[in-house]
Amino acid sequence: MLIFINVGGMKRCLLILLSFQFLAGITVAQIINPVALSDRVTGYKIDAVLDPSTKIVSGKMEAYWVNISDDEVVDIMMHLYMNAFKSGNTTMYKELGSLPGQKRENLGWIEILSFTGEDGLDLMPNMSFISPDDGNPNDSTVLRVVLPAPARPGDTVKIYVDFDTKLPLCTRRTGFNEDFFFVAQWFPKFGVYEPAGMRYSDGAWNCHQFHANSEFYSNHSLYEVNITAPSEYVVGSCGLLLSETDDGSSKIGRWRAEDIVDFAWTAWPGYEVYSDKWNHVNISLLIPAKRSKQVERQFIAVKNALEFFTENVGRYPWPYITVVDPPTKGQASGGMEYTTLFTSQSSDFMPDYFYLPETVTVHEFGHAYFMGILATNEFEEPWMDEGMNTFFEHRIMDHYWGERTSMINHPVFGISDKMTGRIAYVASPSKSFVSNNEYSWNYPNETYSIMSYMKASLWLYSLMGIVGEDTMNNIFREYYNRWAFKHPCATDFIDVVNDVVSKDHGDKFGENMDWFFGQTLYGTGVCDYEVVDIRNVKSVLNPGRIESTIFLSNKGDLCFPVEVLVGFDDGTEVVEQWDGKGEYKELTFSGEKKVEWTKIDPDYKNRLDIDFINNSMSLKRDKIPIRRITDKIMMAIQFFLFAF
Amino acid sequence: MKRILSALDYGIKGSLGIWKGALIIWLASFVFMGLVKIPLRGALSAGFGPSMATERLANGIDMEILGDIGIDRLGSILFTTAGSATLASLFSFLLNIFLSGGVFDYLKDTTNKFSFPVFFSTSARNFKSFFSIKLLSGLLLSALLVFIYLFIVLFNLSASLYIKIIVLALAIVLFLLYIQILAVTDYARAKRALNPGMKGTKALEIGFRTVFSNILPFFLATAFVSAIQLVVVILAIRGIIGWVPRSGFALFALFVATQLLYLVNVHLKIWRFGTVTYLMRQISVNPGCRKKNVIPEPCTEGGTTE
Repeated sequence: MLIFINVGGMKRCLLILLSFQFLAGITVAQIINPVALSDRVTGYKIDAVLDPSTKIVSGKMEAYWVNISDDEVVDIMMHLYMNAFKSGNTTMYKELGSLPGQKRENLGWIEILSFTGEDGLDLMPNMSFISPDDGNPNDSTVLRVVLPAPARPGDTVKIYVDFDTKLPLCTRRTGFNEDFFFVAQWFPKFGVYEPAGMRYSDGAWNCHQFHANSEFYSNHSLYEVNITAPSEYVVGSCGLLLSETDDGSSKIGRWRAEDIVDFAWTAWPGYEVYSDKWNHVNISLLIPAKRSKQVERQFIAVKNALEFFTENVGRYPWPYITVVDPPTKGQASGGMEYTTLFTSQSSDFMPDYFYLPETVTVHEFGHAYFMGILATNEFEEPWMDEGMNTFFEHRIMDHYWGERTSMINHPVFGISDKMTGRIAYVASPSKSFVSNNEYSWNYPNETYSIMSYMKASLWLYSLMGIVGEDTMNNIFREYYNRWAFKHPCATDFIDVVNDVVSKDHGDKFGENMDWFFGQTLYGTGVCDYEVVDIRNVKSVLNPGRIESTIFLSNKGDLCFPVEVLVGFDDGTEVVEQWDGKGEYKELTFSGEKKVEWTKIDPDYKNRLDIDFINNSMSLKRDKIPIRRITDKIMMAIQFFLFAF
Repeated sequence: MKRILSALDYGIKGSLGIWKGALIIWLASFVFMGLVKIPLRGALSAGFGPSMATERLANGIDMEILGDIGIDRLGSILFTTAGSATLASLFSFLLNIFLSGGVFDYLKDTTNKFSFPVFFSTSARNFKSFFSIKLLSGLLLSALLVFIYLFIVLFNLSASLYIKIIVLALAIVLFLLYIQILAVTDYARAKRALNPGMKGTKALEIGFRTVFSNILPFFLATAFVSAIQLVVVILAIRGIIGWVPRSGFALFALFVATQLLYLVNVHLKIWRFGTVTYLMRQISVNPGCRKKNVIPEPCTEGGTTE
């Protein structure tokens, strides 16, 4: 039985889960959620056995892909991400400009042992490695398999794959270190077949190589994974544990995950497991014993993030989440997201005033929404995941941990998470090299995180400064409602912004907000407003009256509407508006009072402005703050040097 | 106990008697700190100009605003400040040694009236020996502080109760040793001031022998005065951190308060010097030098001349 639905103006075919799940041999009934959240275009059933001595995970996989397009598709493409760690000649290591190390046992790879289709047809001869991004013949992270017969619209392609995955020495989110294992990007994973009109005019596989500066993109899937590990290992995964058997030497955990884009897991004898709950969400925390003092901090961070996202974006749709705080020897796997599992980052000694674990936890949890639910293409539009998530991370940290203290809250010194992002952007010499509209691997060195994380977060703040916080929250709620589990792209988000802003504000900001995205998302300019001068001149013609002129300048390339607050010597203030267009602007006042000070963007809403200092000017300089800082430094040194 | 109380009494009187010397020490520190403060203030003022962004500094350091000064200019400010602070540290170390020479000389006989020429001449005379005493003991005290810190970190990191107990015990022992070495340093300088011909290293050697042979009085007296000093320093630092003056008058009040606390601390330090000086004269390796129930006379020993 087939049901057709409209998605983004394009017909798509949604098969009843009962039928094709039965075909794929995967358990039929809904277990985790009452209804399926996504199309489940792909599904995986994997038996995985971890051998700690050889660092190999042996896998037997049944998987399916449903052709939901209108095309006859002649091949399938799969990610074999683990092959990026195979040698120094892979695309990832070439882009990193480094080598994986001398020892073979520290390398990683995935080897296909057998690949068959339906009816046991051997597909190994049909396999080839391709490098669609850079043509690197030494990169084998994308596998193409020509189908014996093209998959027609609505067909389900089933495959059976035996593979061995050798884990690398813990690096770049995955691997082993001694008895610690974090198993990520470990199985052959389908790319995304994008039907015509979804993002491009023609239907095609979207399956990129593993790059130094890329993350991932895949369909929402059903996973059933049986993990065999030695009995003494504590295992955590993206799935819900359905059952576990233990014969004393090894244990087999049966895990299931529904409607998630990736499946990762971890195993280490040193984890302690803690549980908590927020509304409908059971929270599990796997953490080293030495960090037991940080348990409460982690739970508070997750719950605050859950609360904020639920209120301002949408409901967290799964009833569980697993938080993993890897030990120091596994910290290369820290700070990464896998939807219903994410890894935090901390250390054994973490002062109470340093909110690093909270920051990472809030950030990685937030990916559940942008990478997990919305599931944008992190290869091609990294800002849609990292930038949006960083924007929310900063808002959450400031909201719950203080606007001036959300990163460090020490009696001597405080700094907010939000500030660190802008400081990094402002200080970067490369901020105008590229725009945000760039494939992740095309960013010049060291600009990827500045652009994808920081700049995108800053212009989202600036957008919020223009349209207001309420409208911004409405935008993200609508974005979630429209595009959850549907792989939106930039134009989809812009459409949502235009619709919501138009609804909330009419044409106050113009016919649409394309002018904003043209400058920020698609542009490379910087923003810098300046108060150049304030002049008060006694009127010659009208004695007793003063002609005041304020000279403003737009030194940058961007123009946003901003408020200008003007203060007079009698204590009164006036708010003027400037559309930001043109290089100069003059504000004139005539009356009996003098202009004493002026501030452009007095509330610092336009966080894309690279210089807040020149945004204001006062004719009466306040020297107290600088004197206070220097006097305090002097007094502290005086006591330190002469006290004992 | 009676001896310790007498020593403390002697120290207080000596400390009050040398109030002019204390003022010299305060003035010297004030001038040196000006070397750090003035260029820093000028650079920050130039960086901010007539901007009102300084109001974001009202509640403390705002790194975002300071960062907008510009990475090059901020780097230059920090580099210059670090440079001037390093120079000030070096000169203050030497000045501390120099002025303590005059202080210890006065403390050996507090019945004498304080005199500026005598103060500075004895400071000069004692400088070389005091330098060697301070350098050697300073290295030892610094090493002890480093180890105490490491043990505290180990205590926090360790999951084993057994290890926690051991490192805590070690940290406490080192801390007690720190107090005792402080007493040795003061003893050696007092000894040298009393015996102008004695080498600094010799005074230090006698100090170690005497102080560790008579642990209790030296430890109790030094620990008591040091504890009061610590309280004053903590009060001052808390005031510096926690008080956020927003007017010129309030800023001046903060300045006056911290300078007064500093002066009090100088007197406390001199009190500790005077206390140890008294004990030094009371307790000697040669028991024959001890005289009871009289103001201690200088007790000569067979020291070598330089």
